[in-house]
This record gives sequence, structure tokens and C-alpha cells, in this order.
Amino acid sequence: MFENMLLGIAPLFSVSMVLAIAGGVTGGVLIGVLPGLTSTMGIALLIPVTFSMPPEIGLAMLGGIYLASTYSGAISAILLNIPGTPAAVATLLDGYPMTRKGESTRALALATFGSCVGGLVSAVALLFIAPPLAEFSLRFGSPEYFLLAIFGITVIASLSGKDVEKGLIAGVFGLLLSTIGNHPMTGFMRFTYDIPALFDGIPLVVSLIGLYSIPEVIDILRRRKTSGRIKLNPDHSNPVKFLPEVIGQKVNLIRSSLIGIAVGIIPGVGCSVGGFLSYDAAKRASKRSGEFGKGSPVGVIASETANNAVTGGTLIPLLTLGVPGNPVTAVLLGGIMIHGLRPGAELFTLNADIVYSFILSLFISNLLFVPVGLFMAKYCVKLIQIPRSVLAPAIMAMAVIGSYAIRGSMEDVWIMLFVGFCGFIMHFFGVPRAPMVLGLVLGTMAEGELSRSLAIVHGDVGAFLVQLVSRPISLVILVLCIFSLVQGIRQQMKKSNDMKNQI
Amino acid sequence: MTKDQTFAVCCLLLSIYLGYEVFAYPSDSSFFPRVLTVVMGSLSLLFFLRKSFSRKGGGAVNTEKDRPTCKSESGLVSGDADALKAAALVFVSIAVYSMLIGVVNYEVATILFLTSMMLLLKFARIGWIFVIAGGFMGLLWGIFFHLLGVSRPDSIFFS
Repeated sequence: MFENMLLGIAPLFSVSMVLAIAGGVTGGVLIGVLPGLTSTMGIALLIPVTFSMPPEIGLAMLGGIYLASTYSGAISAILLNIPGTPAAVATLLDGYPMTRKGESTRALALATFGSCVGGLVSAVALLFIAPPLAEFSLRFGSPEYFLLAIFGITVIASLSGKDVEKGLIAGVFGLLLSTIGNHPMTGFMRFTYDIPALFDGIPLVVSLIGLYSIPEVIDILRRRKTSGRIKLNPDHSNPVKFLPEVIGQKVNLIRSSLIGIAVGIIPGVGCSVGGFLSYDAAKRASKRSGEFGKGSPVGVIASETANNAVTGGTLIPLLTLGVPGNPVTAVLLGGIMIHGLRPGAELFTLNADIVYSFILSLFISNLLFVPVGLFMAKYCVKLIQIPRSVLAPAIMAMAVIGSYAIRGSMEDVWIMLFVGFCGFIMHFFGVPRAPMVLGLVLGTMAEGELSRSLAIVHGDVGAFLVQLVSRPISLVILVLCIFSLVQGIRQQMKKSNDMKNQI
Repeated sequence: MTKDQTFAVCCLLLSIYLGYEVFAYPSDSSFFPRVLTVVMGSLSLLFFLRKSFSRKGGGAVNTEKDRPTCKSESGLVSGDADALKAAALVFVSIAVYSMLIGVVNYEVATILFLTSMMLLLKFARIGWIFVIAGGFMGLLWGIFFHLLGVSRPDSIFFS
């Protein structure tokens, strides 16, 4: 493992790598600060930019965007009471009250240094947990990989909306979209309607751009009239002087990092849950729990440390098993796959230089967003007031050129528009898009592994089902699939009972 | 019919259509999509029935909500009309922009698209519109066509 790690260190010292990480972190901070722009959309729009870069550089850039955008949601949450990303909602509870007390720099510094520590600890966890887990994945056969794809969809479908059925329908629809084009084994064309652009299926990145940029632009335009002038309560103290205060919170930092990593590893839970769980744990452990919600520095550190620790955690199942934990990592998986890489043991052996370089670049990104974030926070108000009448056309133009750039085909722009239409319809009906993304990303793998499993038993469906319950690992994954569905249904019933009780 | 029920019916119809299509393919090439269409149809039906029964169950609570109107609990609300208008604007403008790229070249089409969208969305600083449109087009051009080496889209004029 250490030999492989050394292989990954070399590319980090190239100028292009440093520029890519710096660009990714700056772009990520911008995306996180601007409410309405999500990490998912940012990564989806920027994948085409990384497409022609060497894989290690492209992935480092995407990693930088992921980490920085997760952190920088806290900037607008603390300064303006507007969470830039869902991950920053818990930070807002104490961050904004601190700003109102004239302690905005202190709150920003605590959030930034806390995020940095959380991100670094989770990158260490990723570095040491992922390789053995990837080695374990060598025991997986086709039935296990098929079930892993199904597990990814059931767990996200169960957790990402108020109706489990809607999430499952979205997941199945995503899987159906992934079957467009030729069959992985027989080559027979499905749902292509003699359109040549569809023969190889719907390009993943094009569909991700459509699914995440179009509905967001519609949302930005819909909310166009509601924005008003924003006032800031600034203080101009030196943020570095608050570093000892963060270091003094050792227990809080370790506890929050561990919570974040654990939450990240579980698919479908997400950064905001990590932030809230850690905030709650810090509140319970604090002797001055009454200060929480009124500007407690401990609360800011807890939520920010945890939500950035989630990032490394989510990458563990992504890189080792190919199961993304949330929509951002699902899009990131798309970015990994367009570089011709496949998650699993192969990634850590044949492409060790790339994957270790990517993991090690996360350390640099985590350190780099500290100065970038603290510097850009000063311009937060100006950034946030970029008129939506400029932002929306700019995103649309980027979506068009990004979709075209993947294969140099204008037909892909129409495909992006079609998937964007599907995304809008889902958004309109309150259907979560995350299961659909997972269906799209994992569909090809699911169908390929299913076809291989069926070929082994000569197409006998009964024998295939027996295989699923007779192989220990596949049985465990099957039980997890059922458990995630039951858990989702239980949560749904609890919510509807709560609503009835409220009425 | 509520929004949730409408969604369920649309999904059911879609799964029936896709099922009709996919069951016409050879079975060895369509096993997976066949299973998926059946699962999608079943889930849609289940969702429709659950929503129908839960509406009947909750009927005594609020008669306004129980009325079969598009403005009920999960039906169309005022914000939906804005969303539909915004969606129409986005889809039509991107479609026109894409066609324009094929007629005039990418650069002209992008500047036309950005300026007209900013004007349409009532961007207050008229003088800045061309600067922003030109600057952003230049940025995209530089990144994609110069730095990344993507070939420019074909167009009838100015190619």
C-alpha cells in the first residue's frame, strides 16, 4: 500500500495539478457560497472541463470542488443566515447568532478550521480504510455486484423523500434510462428509435448536466423576484488568532470527525445529517448546552467538522464498491467513469497511481480551502448578489457547451434537454432525483452483472434467485436491501402518523 | 386528482408503454428492462392506491383538502404556475439557442442568447449586458475550444 501511495505523491508536485486543485477549490467555494448552486450541479457542469485532462488531475479538480463547496455553504450561513448548501443548515443555528453579536470573523474562522480538521481526518480514514475494503471486494462476483447496485438505489430511495414509492419509481426510471442503447452482451438495440446518438446509450455526463442544471435554473428563475438587498454585520479581526480555540476543542473535533465519517460511509444519509448528529452530540456533551442556538462556538465547530468529515466517508464505498453515498458522489462516480476507471480492487491495483494521487490531493484541497474560503468570505455579499438574470443564462450556456463538449455532438444537447425535462417533471412532482441518478450511474453495471449471472446458470431465473440467497455475501446485501426498504416504509408511516396527530 | 395521483397515473401509463415496447424485443436482450417496467408499473399502481385511500381516510379532517381540485394539499399551488412559466422559458430558449448555433456560429449564437436572456429577465444595467455576454462567451470559448481543444460546432453561416 505504501508503495502505491508513493506512486500517488509524484503527480501532486506538477504545476498543472496544483492549478487544477486551486481552480477546483476556488470554484467549489463560489458554488457553495451562492445559494441555488449546488455541489452536484457544479460538479456535473464541470465534468466536461476535466474530461480532456489526465485522470489524476481531473479527479483532483472534482475532489477540490466537492470539499470546498461542502465547506463554503457555511460562509453564507454564518454571514447572511442563508445556508449555501444543505450541509450548512446546522452551522446556521449558532453561526448567524455569532455574526449578530459582532463575531462573524470568529464564527467563520471556527467553521473553516473545523471543516479543515474534519476533512483531513476523513481523508486519513479514506486512505487507510479504502484499500482493505477494495481488497475485500475481490470476493464479490456478478450476483453481489448486481445486488450492490440495487442496494444503492433502495437505500437512497428509502431515505430521500417522504414517499418511498416515489424514490423507488425514480430509481427504476433511472435504471430504465440506462438500458437505452445496445445490450451489454447481445448488442441488441433497445429504445433507440433509429436515432444514432442513442446507439451507445444516453451519455452519463450529459444526463447528469441535464438532470441537475435545468431544474436548478428553473428554480432560480422562479425565485427571481424574491431577492432583496442584504446587509452584513462585519468585524475585521484576524481569523488566525482563533486557531488555538479550535485546537483546544480536541474531544469535539474527534467526536465530530468520527460521526461525520460514519455517516458518510452509510449510503444515503448525507452531510446535513452528519452536521445535525454531531451538533446534537456536542450539545448533549456540553456543560453549557443552554448556549446552543444562541451563538455557541462549540456548535459551529461540531457541525462544520462533521459535515466536512462526511466527504471522505462518502468516498469510501464509492471508490471501493462503486456505491455512491449521495447525489454529489453519484455525479463524481460519473466523473471517475468517463476517465475509463472502474471502482473496486482494480482501481487500487491497476490504477493505484491515479487513485492515491486523488486521495492525497484531498489533503491539499482541505488545506487550501482555508485561505481561499477566508479570503472569499469578504466578498460574500457581492457574490451572493450576482443577479439571477445573469446567473441563469450563464448556467444554461455552460450546460449547452458542456453537453456538446463530451462527444462533440449537438445531438447531446437535445439529450441533455430531454433529461432536464425529466428532471423538471420530477422536481415539479416532488420526486427525489438522487435515486434516478444512481439508477443512471449503476444501471449499466446492474444489467451487465445480471446478464453475466444469468449466463452462468444458462438463463435459468430460478437458479439465479437461488444463487442470491445461497452465497453468503449476496445474502447479506439482499438482507440490507430489504432492511433499507423496511426502514424507509417505517419512517414514512411514522411521518404520516405525526402529520395526522398534528392535524 | 391530486399532484401525487397525477404522477402515479403518468408513471403507470409510461410503464405500460415501455412494457409494450420492451416485451416486443427478444427476451435474452430485454430481461432487465422487462423486470423494470413491471416493477415501475406495480409501484405506480401501489402509490396511486395508497394516495387514494389516504385521501379518503383523511376526508373528515378538512373538506377543503378533500375536494378534487388542483389546489389541494399536494395539488397545484400558486408557485407551480411560476415554475411552469420558468420551465417553458428555459426549454424554449435553450432549444432556440441550440438551433441558432447550427445556423450562425457558436460565438454569435452565444452572445445573442446571453444578451436576449438578460434583457428578457430584466437585468437592470443595460450597458453591462454586452460586456457580460461577450466576456462570458470569451471565457467559455477559451476554456472549451482553446484550452481543451474541443472542435467548434458546425454552422451554416460564419463557420
